[in-house]
Amino acid sequence: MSIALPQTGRASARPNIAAGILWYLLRGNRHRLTATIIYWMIMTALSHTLFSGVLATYDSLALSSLAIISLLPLSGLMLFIIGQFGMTISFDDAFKGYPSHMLRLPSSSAALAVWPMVFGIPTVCIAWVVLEKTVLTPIGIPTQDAMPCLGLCASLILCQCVTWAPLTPAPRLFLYTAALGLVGGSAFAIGFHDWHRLPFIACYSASIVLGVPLAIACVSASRRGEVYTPDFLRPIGERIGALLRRRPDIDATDGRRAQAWFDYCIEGAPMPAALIFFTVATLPFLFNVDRVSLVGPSESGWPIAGIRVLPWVFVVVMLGPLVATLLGGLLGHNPLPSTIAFLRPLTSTEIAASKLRAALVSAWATIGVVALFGCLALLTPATDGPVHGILGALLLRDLTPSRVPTIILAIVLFMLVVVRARVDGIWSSVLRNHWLASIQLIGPTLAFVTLMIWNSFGNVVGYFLTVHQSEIATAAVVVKVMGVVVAFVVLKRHRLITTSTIARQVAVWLVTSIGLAALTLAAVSWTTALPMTAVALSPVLVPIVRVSLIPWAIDKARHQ
Amino acid sequence: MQNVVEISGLTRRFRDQVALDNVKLTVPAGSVFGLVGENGAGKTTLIKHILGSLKAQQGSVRVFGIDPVADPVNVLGRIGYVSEESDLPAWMTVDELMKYMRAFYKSWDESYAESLRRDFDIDRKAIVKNLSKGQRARAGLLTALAYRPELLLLDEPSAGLDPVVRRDILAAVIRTIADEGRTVIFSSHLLTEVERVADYVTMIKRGRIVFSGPLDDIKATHRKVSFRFDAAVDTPPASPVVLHWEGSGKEWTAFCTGSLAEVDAAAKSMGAVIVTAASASLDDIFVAQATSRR
Repeated sequence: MSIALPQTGRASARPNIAAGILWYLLRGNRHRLTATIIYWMIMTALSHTLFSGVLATYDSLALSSLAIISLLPLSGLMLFIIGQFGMTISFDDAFKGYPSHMLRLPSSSAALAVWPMVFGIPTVCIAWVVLEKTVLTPIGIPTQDAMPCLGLCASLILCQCVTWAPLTPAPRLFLYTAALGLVGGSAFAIGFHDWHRLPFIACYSASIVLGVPLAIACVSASRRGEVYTPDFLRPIGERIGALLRRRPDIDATDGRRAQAWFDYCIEGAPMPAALIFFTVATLPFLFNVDRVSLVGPSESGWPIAGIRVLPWVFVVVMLGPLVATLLGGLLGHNPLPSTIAFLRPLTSTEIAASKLRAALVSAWATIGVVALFGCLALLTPATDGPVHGILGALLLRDLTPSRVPTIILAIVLFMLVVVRARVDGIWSSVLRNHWLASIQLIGPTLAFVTLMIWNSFGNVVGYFLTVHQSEIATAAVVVKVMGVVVAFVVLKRHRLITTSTIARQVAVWLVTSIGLAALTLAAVSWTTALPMTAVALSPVLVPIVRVSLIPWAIDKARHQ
Repeated sequence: MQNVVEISGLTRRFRDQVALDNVKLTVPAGSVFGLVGENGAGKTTLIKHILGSLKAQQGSVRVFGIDPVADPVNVLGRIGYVSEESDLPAWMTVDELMKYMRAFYKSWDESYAESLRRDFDIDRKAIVKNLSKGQRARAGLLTALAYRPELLLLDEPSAGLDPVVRRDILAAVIRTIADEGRTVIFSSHLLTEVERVADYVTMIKRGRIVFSGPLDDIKATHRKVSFRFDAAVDTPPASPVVLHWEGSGKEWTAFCTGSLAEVDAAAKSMGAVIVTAASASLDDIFVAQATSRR
């Protein structure tokens, strides 16, 4: 006899929480996951070809700088993986706790906490090993597999605990940063250093073992709606918040100054901040004393990896303005700041002037930050063979008068790049299209680097460009001068500029051009002076066109 | 009476979508002007033209007799604007916000601003993003009122706010009218509020003006009428005076426009008699006009 069981349909299938969590993680992060895989594929290809062994030798400044810049997203990639398994889709979500809609699912707290760990631990380990084998080792950075894997697993579990803990956002952010910085940072660093392993192994293992029940308890508490507010942290949090929000006092003497203050607060701070961030974040790169032959270190001097100084300076100085432009663009993508300015009783030219005033302050702040770091570096104790002293004194000893114009030219060009980055930032915010403005800055840099790499392999185009660089650079300047003329005609037609302003801008350009030409002639030989002058004039000319057109663009954006 | 806003033949398209279609509007000085319409009817687009944020594609806009696009300084300096989306800079403190706004307006009255701030119970040190929605609306109102603008533009200022904040906004409107010669343009879905304070009302539907004029005149030409037909009808006959029918069988209620005599004539032609006729509220008129297929 057989018993006919009722047909089970789809609705009565057993719920599978593991599959649900995996689907949530993959589906929610699919775009970032695709971008990560594409980045890894590109880096793998580059590590085995162009960047092969480049960071072991530092033979080429351009290639080693490019390799360092290309590797920077790597830390972001590991952060992304760790963040993703904290059940967070975006950076903001990390501070909102375990997704509230998932806390209401009919499954145990243990399942909700453990499954993301089960998926996360192998993913983190595999990601590190794959990156180490396919990218880091070929590029010339030998690492060790086991310790970073263990450390990254510990930081994953701690970050999960913090993310799911029933805390308010501010302490969660603090603990998250601390966990990631201490455990993740040490895990990352230990891969490159011969530090004593035992304390790290003990700390990491303890974090993993204790982290699992802690995470379950956190999810369980969150499900009960508990929120723990550590009151003793509040005064510290408020003080830190006040420090982060610190900004110059508003100059409310008139509308133009108030608007300039407003623009500086919105878009001016990212550039100096980005420069400080990149300087501090990439500083350890200079102090890797284990594997690189050093210039100048000894018992009495700070161990600076001299071979890495130039690529490091290049990376820091280039990334600051670049990231600031991108950030400015992202901020500009939010229409609100522009709308607020547009509704004030100011002319479009006055709004443009306020933005430029803020940009100038931002540029000077950035240059000030660079100067400060430069002074600190020059005051750092160092040794060079038998001679000891501060780095500045050692450099001065080697400084011949013929090098002075080159150094001044480099400083002036840096200042121009900074100003140009701010002008590009204004365009991003006015056009509300950060990609367009960013491409203007990144595009020529990428083209220049590509051309340089291409040229190093020996090719017809590269050869032609090298031979005719004087004519090409001069033609580029002529085209830009024509661009300036067209811009002035457009502005005059829209009654956005007066003849005296045009005269003033032309005078600024002429003075800068003559100064740059004189500097270039003093810095380089006569044969290369012409193309160098033309190249040096380009970053001055481009801002002049764009600066001139800003009032027109604001007028267009203001009255659509 | 001089007109503060004069709009004629204003047409605006966003790609294929017509947002405003040949709009003609005048706002007399010293009036409280209610702007009503469904979501997406074109109210905000119209207000943005008055502010000069949008340039007229066809037609002309004059505010205080000036083109707001050609001379934004002279127009914006005399307008106070509060919008539904609280477009205050979230990162500022209230103190910074007040100083920032003061810098632009010569007529900024510091003591008035301070008294408003105290009335609205807003902490000077508070950061705008930490204010509640109601407090943010009040802060927006404070910055729009403190320089005693000649024209106060309120674009859905009370949307999603509690009755206490709505009361503050209405009080602000009344306070502004109390200053002689000042004008208020007030766009809102809360028709009871519009009815309470507005002298003039304009209704926009799909970018066109459905009616515009003094509120009393509009109410006088709209009424709720109960008809009785001789026999039960499935659908009452169409009539030029009827906006909207409700009912069944022999008993039907209609929202009608026109004089009572015109309605009476229409009833006779339809074969019905008028049972009752009552004046309609602005809410009834709005619903009837919005659901009317005209």
